[in-house]
Amino acid sequence: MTPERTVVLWWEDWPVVVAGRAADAVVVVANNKVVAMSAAARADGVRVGHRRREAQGRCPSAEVLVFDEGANARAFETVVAAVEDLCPRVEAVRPGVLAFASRGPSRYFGGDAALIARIRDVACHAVRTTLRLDPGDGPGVGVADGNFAASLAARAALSARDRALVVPPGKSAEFLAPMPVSAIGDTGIADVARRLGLRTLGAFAALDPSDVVGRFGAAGVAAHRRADGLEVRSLDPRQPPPELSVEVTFDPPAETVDRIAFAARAVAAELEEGLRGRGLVATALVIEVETDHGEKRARRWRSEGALNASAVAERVRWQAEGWLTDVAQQVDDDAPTAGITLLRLAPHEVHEHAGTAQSLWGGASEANERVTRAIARVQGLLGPEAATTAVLVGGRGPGEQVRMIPWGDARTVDIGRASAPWPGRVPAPAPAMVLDEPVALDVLDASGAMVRVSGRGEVSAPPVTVVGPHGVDRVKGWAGPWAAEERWWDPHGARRRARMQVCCESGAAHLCVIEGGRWYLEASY
Amino acid sequence: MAPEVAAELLVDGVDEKVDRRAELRAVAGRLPQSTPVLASQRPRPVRGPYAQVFQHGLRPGTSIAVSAARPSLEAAALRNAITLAAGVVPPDGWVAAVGVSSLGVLAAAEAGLILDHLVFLDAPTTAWGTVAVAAVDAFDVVVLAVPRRPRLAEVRRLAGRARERSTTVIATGPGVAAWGGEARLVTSAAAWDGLGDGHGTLRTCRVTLDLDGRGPVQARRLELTLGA
Repeated sequence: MTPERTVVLWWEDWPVVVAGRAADAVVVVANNKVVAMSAAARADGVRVGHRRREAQGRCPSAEVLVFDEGANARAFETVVAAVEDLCPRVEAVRPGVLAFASRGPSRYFGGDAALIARIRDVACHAVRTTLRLDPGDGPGVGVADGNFAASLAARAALSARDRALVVPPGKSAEFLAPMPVSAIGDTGIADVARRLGLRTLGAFAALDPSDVVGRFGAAGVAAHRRADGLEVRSLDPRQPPPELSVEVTFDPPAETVDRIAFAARAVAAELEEGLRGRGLVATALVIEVETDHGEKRARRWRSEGALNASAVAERVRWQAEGWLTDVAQQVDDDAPTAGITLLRLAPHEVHEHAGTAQSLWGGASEANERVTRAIARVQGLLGPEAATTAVLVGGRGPGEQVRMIPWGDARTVDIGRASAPWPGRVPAPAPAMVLDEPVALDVLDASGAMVRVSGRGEVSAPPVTVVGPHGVDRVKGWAGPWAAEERWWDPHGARRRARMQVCCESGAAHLCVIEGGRWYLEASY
Repeated sequence: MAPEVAAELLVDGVDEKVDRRAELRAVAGRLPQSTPVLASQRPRPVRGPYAQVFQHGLRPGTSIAVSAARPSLEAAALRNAITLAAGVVPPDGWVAAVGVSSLGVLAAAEAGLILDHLVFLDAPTTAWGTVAVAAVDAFDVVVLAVPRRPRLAEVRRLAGRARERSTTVIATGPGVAAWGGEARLVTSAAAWDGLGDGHGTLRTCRVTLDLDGRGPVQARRLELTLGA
């Protein structure tokens, strides 16, 4: 069985294009790792996966931009829609990458080469006219037998002259053979293969399949078939029974991404549960929405591996970003005109669940999944804000140095702010108890008068007693004050505060803060 | 070899064997009676200052009540809970803080907890039981604030569930007295060191703990240094 002839469009610089900076030297980073760079930065030797510092070292003139996933997904929807006007059954893989089966369109447009040139033009045109952005060098487009070979062809096309590459029918295996084994799409297997001296996909494909399954299991078989230019699954993908699709209705209609993404997490888990009950996994699914005005939109998503609940929820979020922005801006005539009332997830292609089970050694993945499910239950009960994780950010007070992020949202913050110097920050150890709201408190000197802090950061007299929520306490030792003058350049946001550590005879140690002549208990050690 | 010599040797051997058996029996009598346990149920060593408290390790699934003798020592008790959680969480394990919104995140990071794997769950009184059960079912360590006057049946069910799921529960909060727990740690005194009269910063804290419990600890008083 030869794999289906497939076109893949791979826009490597997509984040740069979205930022509107294709012509400049820029690198886009996420979590301190480079995810994309402009042509100028690439010429200086910056590569995906470099650390931010290394990228800046290689290309000092490059400006560093923070990756904005929402904007990327939103903008790519325009490209997918433009390609869809030309060819049916377009499948989005992730922002920047799309794929579709090319047999029909190729015949209609007069051959593979003509088709992919056309696709490239359409994609660049959409970016230029609809998004009004500079498409730069444009995407790489490849056509080959099967999704895997076509993806590699699209990436190889990036260095080709016209950024398009046609692998003739039946020649996928030959095309793949000289590729490095790291392209196999499974870092674990690629790593072992490299250490075994198998440096190319051809060398890996030449192994006896029974040896591969003995060493790597089902994942190895899939990798081996990929390397050989064959369809990953030996079985026909099944047509899923219709009752496996799940849906959720919104009343009142949902107009924010958060609301849809939150609901999507629950239904995606339900979908996964339903599939797993039959021993199946989905590799392609249709995300469908209906608006209050009865308009329907659907988008097909495909993934190389199985789509689990969190991957599905992520794709719904990307999708919702695109559609809801259309609602707000009315960018084109057939954009939806109202909020979304129905979200349906329908598995489009399912396979038997094999080899994607939990890992051998107790399974960190199993524990993670258990935790994710428990948190989903709590969030379903009390709302998304009920489960949070903390990220350290810059700040002076113990509460200001922490930002709580609802579970499921990206844990991205401005890098480097926490490590920047914050004059007036109280040194470690940090308090064990940070009050949600500071509590009023009296810090008194020997004469019973309130201790004041002068503009030069000096106390009026040493503190002797503290009258707080737990009664009167004698001060045994104290330090400070640490004066913090915040946002003095901003007439509305400016704050002047000073913090003091006091340690009392009862054994308690407090972090007190004075602002506007009043003391507050901020935290206790 | 002459037959009589061989016989004598044989007798010697038997005698020796009998002696060994008696010796072994005597040794076995001195050992504590133990039944075979699953590896996952075996006590695990505790890291950090709390190794002194649980010298024989702590079995996953143990419930520990951490409380303060006086309201002014509540922060010290919370510090104890954080240090203990950091000491028992397995590598890559998950910690839930249920209803403990005042827990100092920076202090948790300093104690060695991984912030990516520390999840704060809200637990309003009406949903406390449900949230606590969800956390106990999934996480490795749960720092649980017990509300004032909890339903006792709910508390018992939770403790049983924690044992069954091998989840270590560290109970704190106003209703912690209702939580029996296999070990009870009461912070009865604390003394910070490092602060002078207008100079220095807080350095270390010596806390006095009154221990009590059924299995993992014996009743005794102990001093620990935290934040060293």
